[in-house]
Amino acid sequence: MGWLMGWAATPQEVFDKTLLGYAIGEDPRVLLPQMICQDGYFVSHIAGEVELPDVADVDRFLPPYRLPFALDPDHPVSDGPQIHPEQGPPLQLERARAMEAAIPVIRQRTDEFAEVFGRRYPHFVESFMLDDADVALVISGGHSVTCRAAIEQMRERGIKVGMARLLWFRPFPTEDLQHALAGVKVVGVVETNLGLGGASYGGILSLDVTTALFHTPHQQPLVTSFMAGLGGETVPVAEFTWMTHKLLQAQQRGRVEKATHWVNFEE
Amino acid sequence: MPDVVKQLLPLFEEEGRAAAVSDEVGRDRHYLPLLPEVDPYQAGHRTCAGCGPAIEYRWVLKAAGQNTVLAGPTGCMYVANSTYLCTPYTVPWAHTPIASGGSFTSGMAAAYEAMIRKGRYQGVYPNIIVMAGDGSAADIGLGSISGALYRNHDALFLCYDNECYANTGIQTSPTTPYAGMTTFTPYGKAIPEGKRLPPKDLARMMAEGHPNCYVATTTVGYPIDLMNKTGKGLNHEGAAFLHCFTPCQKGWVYQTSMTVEIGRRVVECGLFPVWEYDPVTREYQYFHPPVQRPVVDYLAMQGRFGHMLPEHIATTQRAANRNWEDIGVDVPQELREAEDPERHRRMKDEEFAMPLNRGVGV
Repeated sequence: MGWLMGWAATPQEVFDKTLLGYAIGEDPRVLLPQMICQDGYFVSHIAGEVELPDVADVDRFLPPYRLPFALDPDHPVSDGPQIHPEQGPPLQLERARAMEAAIPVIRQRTDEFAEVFGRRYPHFVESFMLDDADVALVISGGHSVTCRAAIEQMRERGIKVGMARLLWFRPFPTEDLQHALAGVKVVGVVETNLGLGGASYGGILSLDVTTALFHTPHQQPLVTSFMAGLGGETVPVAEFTWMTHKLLQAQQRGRVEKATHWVNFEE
Repeated sequence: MPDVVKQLLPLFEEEGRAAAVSDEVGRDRHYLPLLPEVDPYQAGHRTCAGCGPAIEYRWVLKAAGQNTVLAGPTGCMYVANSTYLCTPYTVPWAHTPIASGGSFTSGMAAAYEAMIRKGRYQGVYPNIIVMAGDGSAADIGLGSISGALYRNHDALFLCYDNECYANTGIQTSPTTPYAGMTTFTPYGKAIPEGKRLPPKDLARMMAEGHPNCYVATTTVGYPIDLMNKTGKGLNHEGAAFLHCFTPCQKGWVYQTSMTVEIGRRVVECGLFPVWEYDPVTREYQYFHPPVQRPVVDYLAMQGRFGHMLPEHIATTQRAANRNWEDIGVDVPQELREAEDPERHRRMKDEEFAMPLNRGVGV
């Protein structure tokens, strides 16, 4: 509630996003708390190479933090008092606007990061082989590495599949995702989470993706989701192939079988 | 690297404090004329008539002065003090969630130390105070406060104890006394005493368990004692914990003018020992009130005890007598005899007893 949430796929990205998180969250236009999320174990516990930047470069990228309302006896403020009910809506509107204001700031800071450190990340959505794709998997986090390998193998067999990886979950990149998936006919959301009792009776990611695609200015694709890798289980190439098979089936039939598939629990 | 310069607060003469003299030689000589004029806790709050914690807030901040940073975990004194666009504080204040008073205050203390050392804050290290209710300090936020005391951050951690969750409508807390009625411990046929458990001894727990921590208890009945313990706690290099007994008129049901009197009677009945713990010598210094009273004198003033039966009063007297022995005071014959239920009437038959609390329970 009110936190920026970036989602990293590799240890390097976790490190880089941490720097980015400060730059974005401390920006006076945003001033929101931020989480840099990573898959427990898959990213956090598997060794990978990380290139550490020069301190001088980091100082150039991150100016000293100027807290606008410090707890300073020379400038007393009362921070976090109670509000009356009628003060609630305007306050929440301001928070919602701060979250929206983070979108251009994320774009700007991601570009600045590339200039300073030389690593260029997509602003919000990584598009992988989506240009001519008929079906696409939407994913976040470390399993995207396996997903890419699976897609390359399927492409060799002539299957027109692509991948969209979300680099941020909050603010949700609605426009970027709509644009990335333009022309795709069936979308499968890979859930590595469980949102019990939600509208899809599966994970939480598909709820946001479905809403974004419902309002897309392009041709509306079919959407389904896949529960995989829960509890820290690996999601091997074969499972991504199975998911893609389900998407192709839906494309053929012109409708999805159901909102949520449990991988390995159904035919 | 600049040194962290700490303040040294002045202490006040304790000669005239009410605690030190008996009724015969002028019990009312407890106001000293030399109190500072500064009052960082100002008008602009909405506490109830006869609010004990509000009195405590005023004395503590008077003693601490203007170079102070204050945190307030959720509790009645968060809700009653702060309203958006209106504040009673002339010092910086921040709200924290009820469980994180300790961790928030650790952060403030560590940040000030670091910023001064790095030359990013010019000025004297401020008094850092967190005032948590008993629900926060003894129950929900106990872990975070214990952690902060253990890490020995230079701050004062104060528990204003009104012996219930007053903010949400008087529910039982770990410091609610035996037989204290709350909405969660109503008296009835099955449990005639209302609350069965004796209170958690929070201050002892803090003193015994945290090396280097200055710990003291006091009540709003002794303003100079409260102010001096605030000063000593803040002057102490490292963590200090102060447990202050603050009557709650709404929760305890007594006449609003009796807050200070109750704050003294609880000590004179032996139900709330007032002491100081020196972490260096590992010794307790106990305050021996000049007057000793039977517990009925204290209980009868409050509607929350109006349902007590003779055996409950005798049980409370036994607990008080054990407290007297603990702090090295002889228990007079009269109080020993009061451990016998035969000596008591039902509380509602006592002369001068407050009427039963009709707001809750049976």
